[in-house]
Amino acid sequence: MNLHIFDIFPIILFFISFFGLITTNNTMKSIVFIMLMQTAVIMFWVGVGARFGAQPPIIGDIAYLENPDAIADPLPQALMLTAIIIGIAVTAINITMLNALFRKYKTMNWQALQNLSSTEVEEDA
Amino acid sequence: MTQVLLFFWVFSAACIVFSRKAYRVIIYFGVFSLITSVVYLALGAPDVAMSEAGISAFATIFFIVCIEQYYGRGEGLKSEAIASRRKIRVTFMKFVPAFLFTAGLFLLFVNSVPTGYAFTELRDQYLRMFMQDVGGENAVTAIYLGYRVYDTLFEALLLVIAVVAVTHVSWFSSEEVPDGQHSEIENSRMTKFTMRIICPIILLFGAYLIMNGHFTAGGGFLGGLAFASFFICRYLVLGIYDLPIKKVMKMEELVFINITILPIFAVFTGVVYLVADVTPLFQNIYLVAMSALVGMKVACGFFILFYRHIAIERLPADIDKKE
Amino acid sequence: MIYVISYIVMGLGLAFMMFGILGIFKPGKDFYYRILVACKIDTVGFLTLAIGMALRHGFSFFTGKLFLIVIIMMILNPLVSHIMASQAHKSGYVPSCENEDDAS
Repeated sequence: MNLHIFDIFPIILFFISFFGLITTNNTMKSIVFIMLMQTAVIMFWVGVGARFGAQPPIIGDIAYLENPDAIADPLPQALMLTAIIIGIAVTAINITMLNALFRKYKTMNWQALQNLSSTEVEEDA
Repeated sequence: MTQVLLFFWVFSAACIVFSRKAYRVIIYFGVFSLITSVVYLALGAPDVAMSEAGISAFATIFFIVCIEQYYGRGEGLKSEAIASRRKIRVTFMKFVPAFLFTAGLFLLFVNSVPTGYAFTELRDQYLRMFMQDVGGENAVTAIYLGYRVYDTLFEALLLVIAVVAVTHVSWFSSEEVPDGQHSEIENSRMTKFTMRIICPIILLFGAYLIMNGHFTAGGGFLGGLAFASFFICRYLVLGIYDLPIKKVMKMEELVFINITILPIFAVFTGVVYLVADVTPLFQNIYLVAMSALVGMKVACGFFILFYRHIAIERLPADIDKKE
Repeated sequence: MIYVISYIVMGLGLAFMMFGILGIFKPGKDFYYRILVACKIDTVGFLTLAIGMALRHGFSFFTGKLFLIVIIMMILNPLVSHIMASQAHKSGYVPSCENEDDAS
């Protein structure tokens, strides 16, 4: 147990949303929980390089660099900035797929969907 | 203080997970995104905080469009409550094994994750060198437009793929909205008049974010989000959508090609950071041009995503069936 | 002296917000009551806090930016509440009768 107190919160959030993901039936809620898991991962990576009250990595003068521990790490921030945009694009694709599915089968419950599709396969065979 | 903020963060997420009604999930998701962006700001990441705040608005719109088809517009809420009450007993039996599984994974994870200041040497290197290498004052912009520009390329490619996937996966086969299906939104005259004044300010704000992305928090992504929200305001309040979606998609692909070409010229000809005696003028031109391209890219992508969701996914089902 | 005044103004803004939150969670009130109170938090509480911050900081570039934000917020926040209330009215929301008895 060498964890800082900050790092335990994103992990808790990740596993709370994981718990929600395996207990829900509603596919729209699953999409929300996937987004929550992604936020937890992003928060973990932003928290790796910074602590509370860190200065943003916007440096006007080289004299600020005397104490680099007070400045947040710019590398995880730059990577996570792209990860957020990719995440919302993935969510948009998910929701479009869910819409197409809902227009066809009129349900969002994925267990009912599974039963429906298995019966369809049997009928086809 | 910090633990209180983080506790509320996790608590709002728990509210999302343990609430049964889908409308409440969306509202709690807005609260959660707000607290998340406050935590990012406290961690010294203003760029990430602003993009999270912008993203949450889009996510809320997407979820509401999704839910609107399920429950109808303002109807059918009571039937959902009855159905969920019946389900409680069934889902309760799943909670115990799921809880044990999750708790076991959590303990495994907590005991094995290395944390702390992981990349100290790399961070010091970047912070010391970025002003000569790439230019500007914002280290985040310098990294994603200079050192790691190919990651940004990859992100732009993924956004193009997302837009194409949304158009092809959707239930509606053609790309244009049929006639007579234009916006049914009716706002009051006061709203229209005020938004006519406010919309140019949003455009100005987007331009400010793009032009100053390398000096303060901001940059291409946030400027693109602001531009997209300008068109969205125009659609939502004034009911205009005169942008043809096919041409916007063409323009997005052209901008993506430009995004690939510009860093290749800039980096391999030494404008940015391979030559020692680079004037900061060229560096600033490169940064602003790259920010503007990324901003146009993100604006086009998000405008198409929003347009597909708000104008096409909400159409009544008997208009067009996919062949 | 100016610090004391600014702290008093900021405390006033916090008090507005606190009373507004108490009003939102007051039981037995309908949607229109709550949206009125929420609009009060957004507009009055934020305005007083921002004016307190401007007083505390003195006159500078930062204060100009703050006043720009204040002006935009002063236009936009009541507008948002207006849109929400008018759309609720259009979509057919009617406050229930017991709330009317409660208000009188």
